[in-house]
Amino acid sequence: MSNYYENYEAWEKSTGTFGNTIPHQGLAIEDDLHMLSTRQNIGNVVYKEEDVHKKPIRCLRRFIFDWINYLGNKLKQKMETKQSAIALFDRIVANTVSCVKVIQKEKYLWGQTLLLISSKFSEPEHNCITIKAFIKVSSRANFPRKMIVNCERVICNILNWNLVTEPPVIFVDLMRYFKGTGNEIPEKDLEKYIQECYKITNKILYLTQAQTKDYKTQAVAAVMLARKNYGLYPIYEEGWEELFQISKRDIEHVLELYRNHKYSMQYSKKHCKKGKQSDKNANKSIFERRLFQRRDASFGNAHSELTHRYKENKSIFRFSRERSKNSRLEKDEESSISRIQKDLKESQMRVDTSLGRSIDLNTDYDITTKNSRKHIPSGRFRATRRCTITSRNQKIDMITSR
Amino acid sequence: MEKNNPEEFKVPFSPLLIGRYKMIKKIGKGSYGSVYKVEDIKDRKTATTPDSPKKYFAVKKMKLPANRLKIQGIDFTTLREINILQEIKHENIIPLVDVFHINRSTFMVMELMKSDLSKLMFSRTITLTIPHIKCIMLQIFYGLKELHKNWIIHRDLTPNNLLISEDGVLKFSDFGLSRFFASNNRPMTQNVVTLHYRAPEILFGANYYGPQIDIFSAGCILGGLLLRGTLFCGRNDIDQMSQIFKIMGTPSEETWEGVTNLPHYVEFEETPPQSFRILFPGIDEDLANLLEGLLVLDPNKRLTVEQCINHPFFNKSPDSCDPDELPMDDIS
Repeated sequence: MSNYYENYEAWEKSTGTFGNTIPHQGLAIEDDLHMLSTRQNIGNVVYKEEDVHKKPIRCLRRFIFDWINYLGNKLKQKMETKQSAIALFDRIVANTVSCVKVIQKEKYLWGQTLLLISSKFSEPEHNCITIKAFIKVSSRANFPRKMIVNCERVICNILNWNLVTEPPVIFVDLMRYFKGTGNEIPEKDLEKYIQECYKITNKILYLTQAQTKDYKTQAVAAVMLARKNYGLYPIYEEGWEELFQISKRDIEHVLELYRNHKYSMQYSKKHCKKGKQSDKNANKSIFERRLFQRRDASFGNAHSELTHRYKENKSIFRFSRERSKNSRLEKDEESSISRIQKDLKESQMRVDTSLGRSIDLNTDYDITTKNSRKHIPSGRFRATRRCTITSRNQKIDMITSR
Repeated sequence: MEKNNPEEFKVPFSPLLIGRYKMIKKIGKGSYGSVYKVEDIKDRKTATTPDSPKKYFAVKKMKLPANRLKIQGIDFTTLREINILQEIKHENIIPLVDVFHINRSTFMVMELMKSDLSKLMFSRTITLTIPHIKCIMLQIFYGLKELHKNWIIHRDLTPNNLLISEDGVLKFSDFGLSRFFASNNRPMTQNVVTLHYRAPEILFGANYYGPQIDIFSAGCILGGLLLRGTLFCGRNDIDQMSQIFKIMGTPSEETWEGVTNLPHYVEFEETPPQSFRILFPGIDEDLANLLEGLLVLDPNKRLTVEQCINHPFFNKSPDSCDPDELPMDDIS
């Protein structure tokens, strides 16, 4: 334990936060919570952006961002609640850097309770999250009730019960409100509004590991996010060049603000895992690139399972390898079903498609597979394989068997 | 290192809360929980002079659900109340001093007040003159102005929730039902505001309403101050509506656009609206105008807070008295 403390102090001194932090022990989570829950005056809560750039915090932040978004989407929470949960995390970290070590042990629990708190004060009554609802969503969120309640109390005490947050989505909503009444926001507030939009998009793009070299793309992303919230243009349908023509005036305004790179967040290349790959796609827009990434990921899963199951059949193996290599570079947009059909036909498998419609590539989709057994009267079993593709609009089932 | 005992984590419920607040007696009780009178000991210790005056506060202990499985951590109503009270600091809104936890229940420390408006309103011994009424109503409007400026609806404006200090300053409390309305046009619940002070659009089951519901209940309070009782006291929703329409007249598409489209719309027998000068003989024309403006059925035609403050009733003589001059001594 002593080593742990020495290392910890050294780390604190190197980061310049020694003395500001709360002491804690490296024991079970409940004891940590107990140590943290002792009342201490931390002072006014001020959000520091510099702290976000530190390495351990950044890694943790990325994880919690994903976890909160996953839970929030499953429980049908608003954008506002998810963002305010993340804002609460930022404020906790900005105050007490020592919390990071505590949070890292029980990442899932902290992300969960942050969402629970934010949903309580920003959702309507019928849509508030209950502790029971977490368990239905995923097995990772299966914590005892006592632990969640304790953790919630600790968070409230750390923030000194100052739970008021202003997620930037509010600016978008206010904009909509003013447009509805016929009044428009004065220019001073408009700058603030765009700044906030810019901040979110920056963070989102960074967290999804999309490299942003040009400030142009960032500016476009900010405007896109705003427009999406207006309900005017869906994000994935238009490339940024097209949108540049449509919303020229808005973008020029953003560019004036950020021409000198004053507000732009500069991220190092170290933490971007796909640095080399993105160089190939440098000419493409962010959203196009992201689409490709997602498609690859989904295909990768399907292939890995296939290869695991039919290892003996080498033809599939080769085919899948080539496919995964080439898939990123392909520019022809084929419908996803026809791709899978090709794969399966060539590996001598029967394919039954219940619905033969083509899916738009613009929509999200996932592929999940399920194995089952059919009883045959002769006493043997026939293995069948069910492949489901879920998208936003339609559900397609595929049955494949030997 | 030894592991801490789990029993140690549970702090026993003692008369000295967190070693700072000494409990004296129970003051009130409600649906939210119970309220205690409390003495602050810490300040007395740190003060240089030992004979410094004692500091008293009120502590609100939030109720827990009876079933242990239904516990969801801190209740969302308390979280919202804390949120709102920390954002707003105004003369006519009660200040929050401290918040803390003991075991599973939350405690909120607030200023100690002498009584409610309801005690002043319903007592038979006190006489309220027009300067007194002006003083009370202006204070209500100033508080409402501050709330509406910050995009907040109170949603539970009753004389029970309006506290009065010893100096006669009126303060809003109990923000458990209040919420922000700026964010967007989300549907809202209809189970808000106590029945006697509920606006007609909520009674008809409207999903979208605004700050006008606070103004209707302010109008009910004004009527109550003149009548020295509740203005509309119905037994249930329909009885409440019939009592309102007896005085204000039944609504129709001509007087209120889009009434028939509301979810719980019911047709009543047609009755013409009555003038307030007959109901309350001996009041001014301006006061009657104000009452009518506050209690208009159509929420779009109702007065806003700023219109109420600039109403000619408040500019006329006799002027409103200072809050010190309210008859606070006579409250039993």
